[in-house]
Amino acid sequence: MITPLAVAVLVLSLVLAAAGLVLALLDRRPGKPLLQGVLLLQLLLIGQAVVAASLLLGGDRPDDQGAFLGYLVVSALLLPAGLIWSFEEKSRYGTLVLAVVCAVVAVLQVRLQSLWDTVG
Amino acid sequence: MVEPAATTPHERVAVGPGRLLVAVYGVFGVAASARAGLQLATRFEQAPAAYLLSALAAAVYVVATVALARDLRRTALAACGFELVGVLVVGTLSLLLPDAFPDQTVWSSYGLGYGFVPLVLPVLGLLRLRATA
Repeated sequence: MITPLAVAVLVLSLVLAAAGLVLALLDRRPGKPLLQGVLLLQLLLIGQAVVAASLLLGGDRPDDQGAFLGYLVVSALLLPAGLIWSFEEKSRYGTLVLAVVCAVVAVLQVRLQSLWDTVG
Repeated sequence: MVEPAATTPHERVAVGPGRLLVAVYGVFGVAASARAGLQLATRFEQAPAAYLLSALAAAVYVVATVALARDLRRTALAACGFELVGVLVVGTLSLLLPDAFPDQTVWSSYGLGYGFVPLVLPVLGLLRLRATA
Protein backbone atom coordinates (compact mmCIF):
# COMPACT_ATOMS: atom_id res chain seq x y z
CA MET A 1 0.00 0.00 0.00
CA ILE A 2 1.03 3.61 -0.31
CA THR A 3 2.58 4.66 2.99
CA PRO A 4 1.68 8.40 2.87
CA LEU A 5 -1.96 7.50 2.22
CA ALA A 6 -1.99 4.98 5.06
CA VAL A 7 -0.40 7.50 7.43
CA ALA A 8 -2.91 10.17 6.38
CA VAL A 9 -5.83 7.81 7.06
CA LEU A 10 -4.47 6.87 10.46
CA VAL A 11 -3.70 10.43 11.57
CA LEU A 12 -6.97 11.90 10.26
CA SER A 13 -9.10 9.14 11.79
CA LEU A 14 -7.43 9.60 15.19
CA VAL A 15 -7.81 13.40 15.02
CA LEU A 16 -11.49 13.10 14.08
CA ALA A 17 -12.12 10.54 16.84
CA ALA A 18 -10.52 12.87 19.40
CA ALA A 19 -12.37 15.92 18.04
CA GLY A 20 -15.66 14.03 18.13
CA LEU A 21 -15.04 12.95 21.69
CA VAL A 22 -14.28 16.54 22.77
CA LEU A 23 -17.36 17.89 20.98
CA ALA A 24 -19.52 15.22 22.61
CA LEU A 25 -18.13 16.06 26.04
CA LEU A 26 -19.03 19.71 25.33
CA ASP A 27 -22.54 18.50 24.45
CA ARG A 28 -22.20 19.64 20.85
CA ARG A 29 -23.59 18.25 17.65
CA PRO A 30 -21.00 17.42 14.99
CA GLY A 31 -20.38 20.74 13.23
CA LYS A 32 -19.37 21.42 9.66
CA PRO A 33 -15.59 21.01 10.23
CA LEU A 34 -16.04 17.54 11.73
CA LEU A 35 -18.38 16.45 8.94
CA GLN A 36 -15.98 17.81 6.32
CA GLY A 37 -13.18 15.90 8.02
CA VAL A 38 -15.23 12.72 7.92
CA LEU A 39 -15.92 13.30 4.22
CA LEU A 40 -12.21 13.78 3.54
CA LEU A 41 -11.41 10.61 5.49
CA GLN A 42 -13.99 8.72 3.44
CA LEU A 43 -12.37 9.93 0.21
CA LEU A 44 -8.97 8.78 1.48
CA LEU A 45 -10.43 5.39 2.40
CA ILE A 46 -11.99 4.96 -1.04
CA GLY A 47 -8.68 5.90 -2.60
CA GLN A 48 -6.86 3.41 -0.42
CA ALA A 49 -9.35 0.65 -1.24
CA VAL A 50 -8.86 1.28 -4.98
CA VAL A 51 -5.07 1.31 -4.64
CA ALA A 52 -5.01 -1.83 -2.48
CA ALA A 53 -7.38 -3.66 -4.81
CA SER A 54 -5.24 -2.83 -7.84
CA LEU A 55 -2.09 -3.96 -6.01
CA LEU A 56 -3.81 -7.25 -5.12
CA LEU A 57 -4.85 -7.69 -8.74
CA GLY A 58 -1.25 -6.91 -9.71
CA GLY A 59 -0.07 -9.92 -7.76
CA ASP A 60 0.84 -8.65 -4.28
CA ARG A 61 -0.33 -11.11 -1.65
CA PRO A 62 -0.51 -10.33 2.06
CA ASP A 63 -0.79 -13.22 4.53
CA ASP A 64 -4.41 -13.92 5.31
CA GLN A 65 -5.72 -12.22 2.19
CA GLY A 66 -9.32 -12.84 3.20
CA ALA A 67 -8.91 -10.86 6.40
CA PHE A 68 -7.16 -8.10 4.48
CA LEU A 69 -10.05 -7.82 2.04
CA GLY A 70 -12.51 -7.88 4.93
CA TYR A 71 -10.78 -4.98 6.68
CA LEU A 72 -10.61 -3.11 3.39
CA VAL A 73 -14.32 -3.47 2.62
CA VAL A 74 -15.44 -2.63 6.16
CA SER A 75 -13.14 0.40 6.30
CA ALA A 76 -14.71 1.76 3.10
CA LEU A 77 -18.32 1.27 4.30
CA LEU A 78 -18.06 2.16 7.98
CA LEU A 79 -18.20 5.96 7.79
CA PRO A 80 -21.29 6.17 5.55
CA ALA A 81 -23.08 3.75 7.88
CA GLY A 82 -22.02 5.76 10.93
CA LEU A 83 -23.12 9.02 9.33
CA ILE A 84 -26.54 7.65 8.48
CA TRP A 85 -26.95 6.20 11.95
CA SER A 86 -25.84 9.39 13.74
CA PHE A 87 -27.88 11.72 11.52
CA GLU A 88 -31.19 11.35 13.34
CA GLU A 89 -29.67 11.61 16.78
CA LYS A 90 -29.89 15.22 17.90
CA SER A 91 -27.92 14.80 21.12
CA ARG A 92 -24.24 14.45 21.96
CA TYR A 93 -24.56 10.73 21.33
CA GLY A 94 -24.78 11.34 17.58
CA THR A 95 -21.37 13.02 17.83
CA LEU A 96 -20.07 10.10 19.88
CA VAL A 97 -21.23 7.65 17.20
CA LEU A 98 -19.03 9.49 14.69
CA ALA A 99 -16.11 9.51 17.14
CA VAL A 100 -16.45 5.75 17.63
CA VAL A 101 -16.57 4.90 13.93
CA CYS A 102 -13.52 7.10 13.29
CA ALA A 103 -11.68 5.28 16.10
CA VAL A 104 -12.67 1.95 14.54
CA VAL A 105 -11.29 3.17 11.18
CA ALA A 106 -7.97 3.83 12.95
CA VAL A 107 -7.93 0.28 14.36
CA LEU A 108 -8.78 -1.18 10.94
CA GLN A 109 -5.99 0.87 9.41
CA VAL A 110 -3.43 -0.53 11.86
CA ARG A 111 -4.63 -4.08 11.14
CA LEU A 112 -4.54 -3.44 7.37
CA GLN A 113 -1.02 -2.07 7.55
CA SER A 114 0.30 -4.95 9.67
CA LEU A 115 -1.16 -7.47 7.20
CA TRP A 116 0.24 -5.53 4.25
CA ASP A 117 3.70 -5.54 5.85
CA THR A 118 3.75 -9.30 5.23
CA VAL A 119 3.82 -8.78 1.46
CA GLY A 120 7.04 -9.64 -0.31
CA MET B 1 -41.62 2.87 10.97
CA VAL B 2 -44.07 0.53 12.69
CA GLU B 3 -44.58 1.21 16.36
CA PRO B 4 -44.55 -1.85 18.60
CA ALA B 5 -47.85 -2.75 20.21
CA ALA B 6 -46.95 -1.72 23.73
CA THR B 7 -49.56 -1.16 26.41
CA THR B 8 -47.58 1.67 27.96
CA PRO B 9 -45.55 4.15 25.91
CA HIS B 10 -41.86 3.98 26.59
CA GLU B 11 -38.73 5.64 25.34
CA ARG B 12 -37.24 3.99 22.30
CA VAL B 13 -34.14 1.90 22.95
CA ALA B 14 -32.07 3.38 20.12
CA VAL B 15 -32.15 7.05 21.06
CA GLY B 16 -29.61 8.97 23.11
CA PRO B 17 -27.09 6.59 24.66
CA GLY B 18 -28.96 3.74 22.99
CA ARG B 19 -27.95 5.20 19.63
CA LEU B 20 -24.30 4.80 20.56
CA LEU B 21 -24.88 1.34 22.01
CA VAL B 22 -26.48 0.12 18.77
CA ALA B 23 -23.58 1.58 16.77
CA VAL B 24 -21.03 -0.32 18.86
CA TYR B 25 -23.17 -3.46 18.70
CA GLY B 26 -23.35 -3.11 14.94
CA VAL B 27 -19.60 -2.73 14.52
CA PHE B 28 -19.02 -5.72 16.75
CA GLY B 29 -21.65 -7.78 14.92
CA VAL B 30 -20.03 -7.07 11.55
CA ALA B 31 -16.52 -7.74 12.86
CA ALA B 32 -17.49 -11.00 14.58
CA SER B 33 -19.50 -12.19 11.57
CA ALA B 34 -16.73 -11.45 9.11
CA ARG B 35 -14.13 -13.16 11.27
CA ALA B 36 -16.30 -16.22 11.91
CA GLY B 37 -17.22 -16.48 8.23
CA LEU B 38 -13.56 -16.37 7.29
CA GLN B 39 -12.63 -19.00 9.89
CA LEU B 40 -15.39 -21.34 8.70
CA ALA B 41 -14.49 -20.82 5.05
CA THR B 42 -10.71 -21.15 5.25
CA ARG B 43 -9.72 -23.28 8.25
CA PHE B 44 -12.85 -24.94 9.61
CA GLU B 45 -11.07 -28.27 10.23
CA GLN B 46 -8.55 -26.71 12.64
CA ALA B 47 -11.08 -26.03 15.38
CA PRO B 48 -14.63 -26.74 14.22
CA ALA B 49 -16.25 -26.34 17.65
CA ALA B 50 -14.59 -23.02 18.41
CA TYR B 51 -15.39 -21.61 14.98
CA LEU B 52 -19.01 -22.75 15.08
CA LEU B 53 -19.36 -21.17 18.51
CA SER B 54 -17.88 -17.93 17.18
CA ALA B 55 -20.33 -18.03 14.27
CA LEU B 56 -23.26 -18.56 16.64
CA ALA B 57 -22.09 -15.69 18.84
CA ALA B 58 -21.67 -13.46 15.78
CA ALA B 59 -25.20 -14.23 14.60
CA VAL B 60 -26.60 -13.36 18.02
CA TYR B 61 -24.73 -10.03 17.99
CA VAL B 62 -26.36 -9.21 14.67
CA VAL B 63 -29.78 -10.20 16.02
CA ALA B 64 -29.20 -8.04 19.10
CA THR B 65 -28.14 -5.08 16.94
CA VAL B 66 -31.28 -5.25 14.80
CA ALA B 67 -33.56 -5.87 17.79
CA LEU B 68 -32.12 -2.93 19.76
CA ALA B 69 -32.27 -0.68 16.69
CA ARG B 70 -35.89 -1.58 15.92
CA ASP B 71 -37.16 -1.63 19.49
CA LEU B 72 -37.92 -5.36 19.43
CA ARG B 73 -37.61 -5.67 23.18
CA ARG B 74 -38.25 -9.36 23.73
CA THR B 75 -35.80 -10.33 21.00
CA ALA B 76 -33.23 -7.87 22.30
CA LEU B 77 -33.66 -9.16 25.84
CA ALA B 78 -33.21 -12.76 24.70
CA ALA B 79 -30.17 -11.93 22.55
CA CYS B 80 -28.41 -9.83 25.21
CA GLY B 81 -29.22 -12.43 27.86
CA PHE B 82 -27.85 -15.22 25.67
CA GLU B 83 -24.65 -13.22 25.07
CA LEU B 84 -24.15 -12.57 28.76
CA VAL B 85 -24.67 -16.22 29.69
CA GLY B 86 -22.47 -17.27 26.77
CA VAL B 87 -19.54 -15.05 27.67
CA LEU B 88 -19.74 -16.05 31.34
CA VAL B 89 -20.03 -19.81 30.68
CA VAL B 90 -17.51 -19.99 27.82
CA GLY B 91 -15.19 -17.54 29.57
CA THR B 92 -15.16 -19.71 32.69
CA LEU B 93 -14.81 -22.97 30.75
CA SER B 94 -11.96 -21.59 28.65
CA LEU B 95 -10.03 -20.82 31.82
CA LEU B 96 -10.83 -24.10 33.57
CA LEU B 97 -10.42 -26.35 30.50
CA PRO B 98 -8.01 -24.55 28.14
CA ASP B 99 -7.49 -27.76 26.14
CA ALA B 100 -11.15 -27.80 25.13
CA PHE B 101 -10.71 -24.48 23.35
CA PRO B 102 -7.74 -24.91 21.01
CA ASP B 103 -8.44 -21.63 19.26
CA GLN B 104 -9.79 -18.35 20.51
CA THR B 105 -13.51 -17.66 20.36
CA VAL B 106 -15.03 -14.24 20.96
CA TRP B 107 -16.04 -15.42 24.41
CA SER B 108 -12.77 -17.08 25.52
CA SER B 109 -11.31 -15.58 28.70
CA TYR B 110 -14.44 -13.39 29.00
CA GLY B 111 -13.62 -11.66 25.72
CA LEU B 112 -10.08 -10.67 26.68
CA GLY B 113 -8.96 -10.83 23.04
CA TYR B 114 -11.62 -8.25 22.15
CA GLY B 115 -10.94 -5.81 24.98
CA PHE B 116 -13.72 -7.37 27.09
CA VAL B 117 -16.25 -5.78 24.74
CA PRO B 118 -18.18 -9.11 24.61
CA LEU B 119 -18.57 -8.94 28.39
CA VAL B 120 -19.54 -5.26 28.57
CA LEU B 121 -21.95 -5.04 25.61
CA PRO B 122 -24.71 -7.39 26.84
CA VAL B 123 -24.63 -5.76 30.29
CA LEU B 124 -25.06 -2.31 28.73
CA GLY B 125 -27.78 -3.69 26.44
CA LEU B 126 -29.73 -5.12 29.36
CA LEU B 127 -29.29 -1.89 31.37
CA ARG B 128 -30.54 0.15 28.42
CA LEU B 129 -33.57 -2.12 28.01
CA ARG B 130 -34.38 -1.72 31.68
CA ALA B 131 -33.86 2.05 31.61
CA THR B 132 -36.34 2.46 28.76
CA ALA B 133 -38.89 -0.12 29.90
